[in-house]
Amino acid sequence: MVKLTSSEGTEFDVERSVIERSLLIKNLLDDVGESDTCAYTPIPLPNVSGPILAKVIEYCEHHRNDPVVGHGDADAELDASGARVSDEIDEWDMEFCKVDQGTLFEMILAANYLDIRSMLDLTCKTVANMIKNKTPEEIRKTFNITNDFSPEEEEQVQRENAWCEDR
Amino acid sequence: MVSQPRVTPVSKKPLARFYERVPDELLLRVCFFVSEDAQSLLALDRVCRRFNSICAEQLLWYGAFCHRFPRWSNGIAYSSLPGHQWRSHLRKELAMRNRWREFGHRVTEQLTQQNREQEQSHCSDAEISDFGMATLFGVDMDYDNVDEHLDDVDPTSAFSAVLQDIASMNSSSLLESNNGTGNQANAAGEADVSASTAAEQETHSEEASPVIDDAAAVEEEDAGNGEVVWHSMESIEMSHQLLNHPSEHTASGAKADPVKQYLCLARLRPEGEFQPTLTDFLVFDYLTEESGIVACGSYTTSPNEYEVLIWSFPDWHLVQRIPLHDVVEDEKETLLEVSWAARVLVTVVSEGNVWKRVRIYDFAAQPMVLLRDVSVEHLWFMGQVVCALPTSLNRVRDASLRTWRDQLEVLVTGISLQGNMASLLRYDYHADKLLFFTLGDGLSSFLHFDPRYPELVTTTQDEGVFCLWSARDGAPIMRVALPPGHVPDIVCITDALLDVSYGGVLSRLVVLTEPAIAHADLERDACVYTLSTTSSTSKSRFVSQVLVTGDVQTPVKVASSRGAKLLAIDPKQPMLGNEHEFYEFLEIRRQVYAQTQQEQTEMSVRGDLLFRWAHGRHRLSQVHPRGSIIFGDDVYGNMFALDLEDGEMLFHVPCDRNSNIMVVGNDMVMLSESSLTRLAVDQCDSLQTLEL
Repeated sequence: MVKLTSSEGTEFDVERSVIERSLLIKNLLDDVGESDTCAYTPIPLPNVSGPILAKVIEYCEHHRNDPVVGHGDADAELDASGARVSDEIDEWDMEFCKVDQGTLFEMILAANYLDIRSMLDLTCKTVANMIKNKTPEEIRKTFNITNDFSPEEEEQVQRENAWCEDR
Repeated sequence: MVSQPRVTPVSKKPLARFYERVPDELLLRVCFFVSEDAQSLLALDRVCRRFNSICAEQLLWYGAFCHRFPRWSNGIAYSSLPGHQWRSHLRKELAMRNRWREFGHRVTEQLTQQNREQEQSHCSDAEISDFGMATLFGVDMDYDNVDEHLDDVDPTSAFSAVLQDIASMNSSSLLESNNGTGNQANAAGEADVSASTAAEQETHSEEASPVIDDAAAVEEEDAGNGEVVWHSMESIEMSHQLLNHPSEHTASGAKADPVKQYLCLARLRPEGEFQPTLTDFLVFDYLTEESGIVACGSYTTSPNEYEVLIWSFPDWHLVQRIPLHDVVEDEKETLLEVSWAARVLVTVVSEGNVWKRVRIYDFAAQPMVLLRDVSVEHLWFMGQVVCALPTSLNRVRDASLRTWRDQLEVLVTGISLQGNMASLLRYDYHADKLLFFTLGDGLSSFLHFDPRYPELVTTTQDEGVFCLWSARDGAPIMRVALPPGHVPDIVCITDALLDVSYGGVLSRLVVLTEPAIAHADLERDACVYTLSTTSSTSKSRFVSQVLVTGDVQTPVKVASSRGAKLLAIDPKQPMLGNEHEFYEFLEIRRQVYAQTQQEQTEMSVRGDLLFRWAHGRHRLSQVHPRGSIIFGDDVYGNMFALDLEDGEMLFHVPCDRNSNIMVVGNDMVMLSESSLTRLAVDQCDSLQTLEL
């Protein structure tokens, strides 16, 4: 068992085989070696809040038997053309990502920090799917983004994209 | 066992704060997932400065390009084009398709409107004969506009004198035209009606396709009641006033649309007067990627009064008129090529079909200086396509080539009238040396030469063979026999990427086939091959810098299991004909195929079949490939743009038959005997029209 401490100090006990989906923690544990120390010495995760850490653990628990995708497989999900494929999200993952946007972005940050590649891709795909088939204005509205283009820049952007939209 | 911590919801914070907390590299990761949909990536790029900046990563756009054009992009590795601006490239590809799709829609709308109005006007035959179709859109020439444009010209410019001449000529034209306005209007109207009646078929359905095809051609023969519904592009006589002010409406409420704008128009003259005509060679010369000149020749007031007319694009101003009149009776001198940057003009003096002399002028000096007068009379040669080397594309890429008179070569491909063989003629200006090659010793049914690929000539032969030749020395480079059942109709080379600056770097070979005589049930195919010349013949210096080959990581997909190599389409074996000659013909075809297959092992060009598909029933007459789109016209008088990626016909509209067409920038220009026309969907504010 491994003890993790969230940014607020909440402690989580989790099986080593589960949390080893995080390359950050796996490498840490590998460095420490086989000892009971880790079971009693909590690993502080100051960048991850309790609720988000709970989601991370939930994800790792569900995917505990999946093959680990590491940096060496960085292009594993690239298709033949070199682009990533985002439409294949299984049902559990889709349900898992049905959270508010704040949580989703926190999950992205946590997956990145903990180096859980598959979770990072899942959350990024989810955001990408929220972007797809939307107009710029709809994207702004969805993510509460301010249009900060100057009128000149806006005009240039419009000019560059003239005739590009599918009609 | 896992402890169950108490999970509290994330505090409610403004959404923007979360978005702002995510670093760029993670948003870039999101963008990669978005890039599988080009439209979504384009939208994301326009959301805010931050996303616009993140989307500057060209790999994103390469991915989007590959997803949008999965077949065409095959074999184009990102690493093979370092520094390529994939974002603007993808925009260009999409914009070109949308422009021409819109063009097709607007022409169709106009034809429908014209049809509707004409049906209404059919209430009286007398009305038709009096006003004809010309009255539907009006044919009032806006002479004032021509003069206004000429007035705008800087009087200090080198060409001001010439332009003043134009102005005075237009003034006199105006006077002449005013004198005979009524007659001309009637004459134009009658001519249009008679031409259209002869050329078009009838249909009563407004939903029916306006294009003319096999079926329509048959119907045309049956048409007997004189009703004309669909008309050629040439018959849409739109008022220039309307073209210049597209927001205005015709009398009947139809919105004028600048899908067609005359650059030069030879108007009908009263009977007995000489009718101005434009000549067949249409020339363009790029000064930069987005600008250049277009030129054509014209006989203006008599068969001996010939001048070269030059327009700038994209603003379409008439920039110069160069008179040519140093010919004897029975001869004519016509334009072949203009190099605007080098101020060199190439013409041919011919008698009938036979070329007698090729002339090279320096038009920087006024009057123009004849630099060379090369006799080619002894060759019995008729040219088809001409280019001056280095080509305009070479010069765009290498500015030092702009003063290239020492390197000037004139290259002409055409037909030797002794034996009807494909031939090419090269004239080295510096060495004053003329070279003439006959391409093989057999008859050629089609010859294709594209100045973008000045080192290659393709020919087709009736027995189902097409050949690639070196334009440098006439050496054969590749000989390919299609399987019995298919005859190569048109073979052309195009860019893998739609970008002038990469012309000739990445190439595709497009083979459009016809069913052979005994296989009329087969469809017309379009086969697209990569073209690689890694082991070219020692004799010929081949297209330089050809980089594309199948990418190891993204193996070439083939559309058919019948082989991926250029030659490896297995021959079919059906013997459909019962007649003896069919057997004999097929036997010859098989022998030719077997022979070329044997020879192919020694050939120097490698090509992988990217894909093939049946392109339908439209028999093509000329094509102008531009990236993955081929523009052209078919034998029924329709103009089209065909997307080779997915076979979509972007537009397919009736046009004037036997026109010479060219794709110039975002426009298309169409040259017929009586008009030079710009076809586009965008309004051009500075467009200048000249009437002969």
